[in-house]
Amino acid sequence: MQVTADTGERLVCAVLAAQVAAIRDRVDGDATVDLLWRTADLLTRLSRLVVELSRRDPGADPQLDEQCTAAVMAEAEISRSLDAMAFVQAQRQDVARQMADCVVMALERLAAVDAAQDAPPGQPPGARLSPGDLAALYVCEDQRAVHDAVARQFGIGVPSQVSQPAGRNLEGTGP
Amino acid sequence: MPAILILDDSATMVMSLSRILKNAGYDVETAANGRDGMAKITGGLKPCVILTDLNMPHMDGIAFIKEARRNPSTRFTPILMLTTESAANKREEARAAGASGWLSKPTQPSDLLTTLKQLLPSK
Repeated sequence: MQVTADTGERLVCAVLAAQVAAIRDRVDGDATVDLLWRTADLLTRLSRLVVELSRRDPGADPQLDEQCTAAVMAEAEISRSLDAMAFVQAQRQDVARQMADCVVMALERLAAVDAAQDAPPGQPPGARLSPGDLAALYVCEDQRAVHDAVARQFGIGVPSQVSQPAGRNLEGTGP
Repeated sequence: MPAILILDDSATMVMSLSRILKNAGYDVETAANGRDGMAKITGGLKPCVILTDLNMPHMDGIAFIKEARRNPSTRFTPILMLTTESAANKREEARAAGASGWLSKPTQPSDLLTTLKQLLPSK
């Protein structure tokens, strides 16, 4: 089979889409959040055990009782902090996942085999994703800032803030 | 007590939100997108508040809010968006659709719980 330049470019886009998708899935499968939850749960269980053991022989060792009380109070605070850290980390992972998913969708569109038939009116075959189309996929302001910075390097002043709705509401998208 | 309905296509986010809300004493129901959320509502679920992502497959957050506002059981239910987006035009779009509030990711648990309490004065 002869590989034309267009076929080669589509292949590159398809490969890049698959590679970015793999990065997205690694981000999504990161174990940090789970480890923070398990640590918080373990600390809570240990704290309950300390309370239970203290109750079995109250007053036997006042100094140890005092230390147990301090440890239980510290555990509650640390567990709350771990839960908060996990919550923020989960959101950061979600932002990264959605940003990567946006790149995957754009590359998949560029790699579409029936690209020539998909060209919008007024655009040549192969021009399947305009900067505006790309901007419609964005999920956060960071992406728009990067877009605008790159556009300025090309001497283009068109802002990425477009009002095209439903750019991402596509069947079957997302992991 | 009626549950808080969480809509997010990220399983990690759903688990994380559920954990924070359950630890704060709320009951929780979950859905993976707007379509699943509406299925729960039409199936009889009457949440006290709805917490939804914006970008989801099958039915996104804005489309979900419009559907929910057409449903008699959720017409006046507070709906809080928790999303990666912070763009003013997206916020306005959500407000026009019927969103009650908006938080941008990442947010702190304390900010989420404070906002929920404002939406639920009896809690």
